[in-house]
Amino acid sequence: MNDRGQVFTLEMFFALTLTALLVSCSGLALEQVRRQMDDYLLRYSLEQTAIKAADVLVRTNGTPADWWTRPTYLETVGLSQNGSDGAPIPNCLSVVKLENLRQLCQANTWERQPNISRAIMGLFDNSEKFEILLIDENTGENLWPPVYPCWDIRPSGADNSLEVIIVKRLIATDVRKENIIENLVHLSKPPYYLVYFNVDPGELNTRDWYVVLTRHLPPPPVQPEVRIWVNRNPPDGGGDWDFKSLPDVSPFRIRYDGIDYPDGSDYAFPVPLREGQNFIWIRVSGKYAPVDVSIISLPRKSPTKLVELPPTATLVVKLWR
Amino acid sequence: MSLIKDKKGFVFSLDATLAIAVLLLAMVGVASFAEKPIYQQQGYLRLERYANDALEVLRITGTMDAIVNYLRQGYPENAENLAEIELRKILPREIQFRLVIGDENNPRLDNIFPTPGRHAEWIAAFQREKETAKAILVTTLPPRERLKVLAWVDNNDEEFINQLIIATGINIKIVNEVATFWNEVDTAIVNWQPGHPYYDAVFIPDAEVDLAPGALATKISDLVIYQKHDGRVVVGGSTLYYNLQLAYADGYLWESLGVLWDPSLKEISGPPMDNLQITNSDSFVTMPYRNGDIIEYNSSYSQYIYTPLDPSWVFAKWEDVPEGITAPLCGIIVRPAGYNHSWIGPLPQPAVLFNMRFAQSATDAENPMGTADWITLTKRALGYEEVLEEISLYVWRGPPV
Repeated sequence: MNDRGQVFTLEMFFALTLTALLVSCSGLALEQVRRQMDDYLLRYSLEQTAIKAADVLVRTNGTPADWWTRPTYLETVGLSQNGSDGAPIPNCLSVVKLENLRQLCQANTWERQPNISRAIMGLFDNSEKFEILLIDENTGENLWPPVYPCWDIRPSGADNSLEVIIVKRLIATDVRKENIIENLVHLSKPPYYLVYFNVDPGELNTRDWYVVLTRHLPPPPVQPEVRIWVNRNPPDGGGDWDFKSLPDVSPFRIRYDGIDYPDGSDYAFPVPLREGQNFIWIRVSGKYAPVDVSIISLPRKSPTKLVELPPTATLVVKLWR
Repeated sequence: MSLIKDKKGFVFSLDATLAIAVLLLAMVGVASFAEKPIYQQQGYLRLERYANDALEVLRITGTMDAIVNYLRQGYPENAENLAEIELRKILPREIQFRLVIGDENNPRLDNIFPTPGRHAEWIAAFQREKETAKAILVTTLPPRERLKVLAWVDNNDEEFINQLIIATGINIKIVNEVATFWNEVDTAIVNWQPGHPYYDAVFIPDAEVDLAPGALATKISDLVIYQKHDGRVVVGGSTLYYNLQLAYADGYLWESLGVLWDPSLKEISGPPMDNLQITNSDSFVTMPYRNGDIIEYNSSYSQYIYTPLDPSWVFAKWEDVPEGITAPLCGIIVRPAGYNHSWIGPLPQPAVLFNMRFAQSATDAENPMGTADWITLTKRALGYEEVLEEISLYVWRGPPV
């Protein structure tokens, strides 16, 4: 029997080394897992904040419901369109409210009115690292200028951030294409086209109505010449039109803020819109270049430039650390 | 074996190796568990939001109504095209979809995918996909079978019939010649299969002629024979006023419509009879209304003083009547199914008599009144009943087929 001590044996040394290695490896692994978990949790909470913010934006009116008319009372931002009963219409975005939010994010307001900026940041977990976009999902094109704090003096910062959470919500813009007739061309004789559209009960005074021309020639877009008659037949010879482009410039306002032909032009025989079926006659003459004519309606008193928006879009909420 | 006797180190023992292996496994498990669920959960929630948002947007923009309307009018290809174009327009490219209209076990339309055609490939891709999100919209859809109706149309009834077709997509054969009308009724009787009438209903909104003049006088009773053969008759306006000569012909029709034959039928019109009141919503015709609901009526058109065979068959009345008339005046009379007719026996289907010129009131050029309500009452009288069904949208991530 070998009775010598075995405290510093080679086996013991191996054992200690291995144990130390195992302990340190485990420690490192655990540390890594912990860090990853922290990252994930941070990302998770950021994602949750973005999801909730997007949800509030597209599904509520905000608080107070008319915050955009008196922003100093703003508590929570909501961008959905109001229904006739005042309740929000989920997923129906009010671009007017979006534009008002953008104005509140201007540097002047953002920095000088902390109660407003605090209320807006409240939606994003008190962070000002957010950006709201309205895009066409298929082209990726921005349909409205981006909304983020101090957009008029600096970029948003989303591009320089390593980790950006993006939440997308599909929305309707409340721009309604009531009817469209595409690729109208003057061939041998100036052709006439008839387009019907409907004004639903109660909508005569809750929406504005436009005729919009889209030409497919490079600018200056003057050809073809288009004449429009609303709710009446064109007289022989095609005179006495309600709108003629040029000199009138599309979009033509058939009815705005409850008033028919509000621009005060000298229309020969103006016929007002009515609930139910309405129609326009279109005469196309001039170059052999196509033109699309659409009837667009917007919520009453909306800015005229909204006619260019498509009826559907994607609201993008970006949030980063 | 004791440790004292075994002098070899035990660092690499089997026990230790197993213990380390188990420990490592546990650590790897913890790490991977911590990593995956968050992304999987968020990814699924995003899909679910896409599905819900897309259905909501289709509903708000009126696209869903247009899709259902195409189905109603019998154009499923148009419904499919429109749904595909609009969904493709609003959903991101990497999101694929399948829209099913109607009960999934027996769908009205289930071939709506991001691209037209290649349905088998799309269905295979859909079935292969493990992570799909689904959103459901419950809506009213037209009846599965398109109703086939024979309609007598004269003097300004066309506009009402047009509006009825737009609202329902009912397949209506319009006639306005007496000989053709009876030919069609006879065709319906000859081609009858038990439980499957050739025409689901004969609709006479407001005949302003004797439908069975001269030698055809007894022909009017063919409408009762038609009812015996699973047919339904819906009559309104002045039809009975112009068809009341013979007790054993016109009288049979009157009885089948739930009123006593009266060869000296009295015609009235004018205020205060401009509002019909629903008095009983417990019938298939008046079901969408509540008792007391008012249906607007242009009082410049006539009504008649009928005597119902059974007062409980009257489902709408005029409570306010001109002086000298006994109130109330019958408005809508629904003769129930299975009524034992004195001439021909049980009539399997119900019949409806509208005691007003509703088609004229609804489409009056100067002052149309109650248009939507008269369309609703008429389509229900004809047996057109919309049903609540689901529209399901599935979405998943993946390349297009």
